[in-house]
Amino acid sequence: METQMTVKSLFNRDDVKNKFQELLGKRASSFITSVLQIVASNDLLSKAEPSSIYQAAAVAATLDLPLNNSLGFSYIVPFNTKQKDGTYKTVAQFQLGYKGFIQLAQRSGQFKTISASPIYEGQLIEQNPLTGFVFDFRTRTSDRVIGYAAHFRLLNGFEKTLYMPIEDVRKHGMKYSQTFKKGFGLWETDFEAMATKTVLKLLLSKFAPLSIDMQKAVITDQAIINDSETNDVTYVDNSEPVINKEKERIALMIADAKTVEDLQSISAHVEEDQLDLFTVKMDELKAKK
Amino acid sequence: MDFSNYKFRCSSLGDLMTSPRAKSEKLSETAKTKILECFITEKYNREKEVFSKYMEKGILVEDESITLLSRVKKKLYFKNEDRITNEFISGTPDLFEGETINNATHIIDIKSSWDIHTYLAAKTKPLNKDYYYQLQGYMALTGAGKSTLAYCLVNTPETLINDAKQKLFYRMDGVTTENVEYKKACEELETSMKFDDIPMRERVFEIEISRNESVIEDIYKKVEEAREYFATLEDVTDKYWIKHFEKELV
Repeated sequence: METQMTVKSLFNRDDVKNKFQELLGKRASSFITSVLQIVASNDLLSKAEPSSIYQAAAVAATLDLPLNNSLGFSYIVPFNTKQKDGTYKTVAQFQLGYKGFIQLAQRSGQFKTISASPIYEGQLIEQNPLTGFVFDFRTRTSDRVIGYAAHFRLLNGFEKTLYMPIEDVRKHGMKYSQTFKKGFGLWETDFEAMATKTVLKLLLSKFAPLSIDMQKAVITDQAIINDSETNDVTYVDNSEPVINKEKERIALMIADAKTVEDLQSISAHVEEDQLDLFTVKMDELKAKK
Repeated sequence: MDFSNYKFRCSSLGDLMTSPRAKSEKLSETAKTKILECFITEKYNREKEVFSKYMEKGILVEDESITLLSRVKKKLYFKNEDRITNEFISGTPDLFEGETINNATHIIDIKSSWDIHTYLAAKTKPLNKDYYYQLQGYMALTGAGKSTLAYCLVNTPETLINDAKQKLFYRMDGVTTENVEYKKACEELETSMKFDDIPMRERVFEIEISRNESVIEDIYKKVEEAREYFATLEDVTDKYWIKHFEKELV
């Protein structure tokens, strides 16, 4: 409640209201209301640092994409980030939906068509790494989704398609989303939307001419916004956990130990955060003696 | 450039120590090629590119191999990062036993095999001479009286498996990733590159190599001969006109 009040009081400040007024004009006040409603309805987000919520909202306002979750254009999601002192802090992360990317592409005035879709079994006819993909949407043989595809054609005639098999999409989600790894979040609750967005974003960022707004969208998607005006962002979601291989080795040898002597031989190298593991194993082995 | 104090890496001693065809020659053609490579690196700052998927796997899975060895031997090992030199050679042995690397009692060099075929081939075939000289070099540097080559069979990293799948896809012209044959081929590929089903004890073996002072002396002598050859290289590479009779016919 305290943080919610703080978010409310932050968005009540004149300078903040003026900022949104500048960006959205008459729609500023309804936009702010939607942000506050999103925060109020999400326990985790209500604990997030208010300035991070403000920055994420500012990006959405700059891109003129509504933050209404049911519309699917853009989202603010909570994220627990580890601090240097080892404690955790909840911050807000900005995310675009695939509809948001399509909206921005349409607004750029360069696209004749842009779309993305799940691909079902039987619809993928040919896959050539050089010449592209061939689909036949009349030849669907089952309801099993085998992948996702995105396509665009520019007004100048250039067109491109990207297809990703479902396993690759899943791996992408696991790599770039901490919440998916843990079994919750947008990837879990709306896999199709996230998969569609993934393939569309990859297609656009690799092959499409990006307007200023689209560049901002690509940069700020799934980022903690430090400064919405300068696009100063921090990517936390996709930081792969760095595995300390030597620590892992010690942990495995603790688990492997069959005798007290086995454990004693490695005791000098056991780190503080492995002491519990070591002690439990030692007790277990002593009890067996 | 002065090559009179040039120190050869232990990993290149195998090439240096090959025997010349003619008894009158001090250095073999293989040795001369190796010396030329070292000369180019020193003078022109360009290393010869030697890269393969086997080397890449070796680099990527070094920690996993050390973990496997540690678990099987029940002895905790840590990678040595210190480069050691003496008057003639230099090297960075992978692992050691003893108080410090400079007075080690036992040196271990890790060899991560590509697959079960190369792993068992190493077990059944004669010892690679390059490794023999490499380990003699490490023992000379550290004072160790004993060394072993530890061959380890650990899983191939996902990046290399994916590269192999990609190549397979291109070879199977006209298929999609849903193709039954392609999927089956991928499964077989994964099986050939992952070894969790094989007990740890069967995925590591060691070959012991004892210190040989006379071999170490031979190595030092060869290094001195190589240093003399460097001087002639400088001379030849500086020339513009080379008369045909100055060159041997191949």
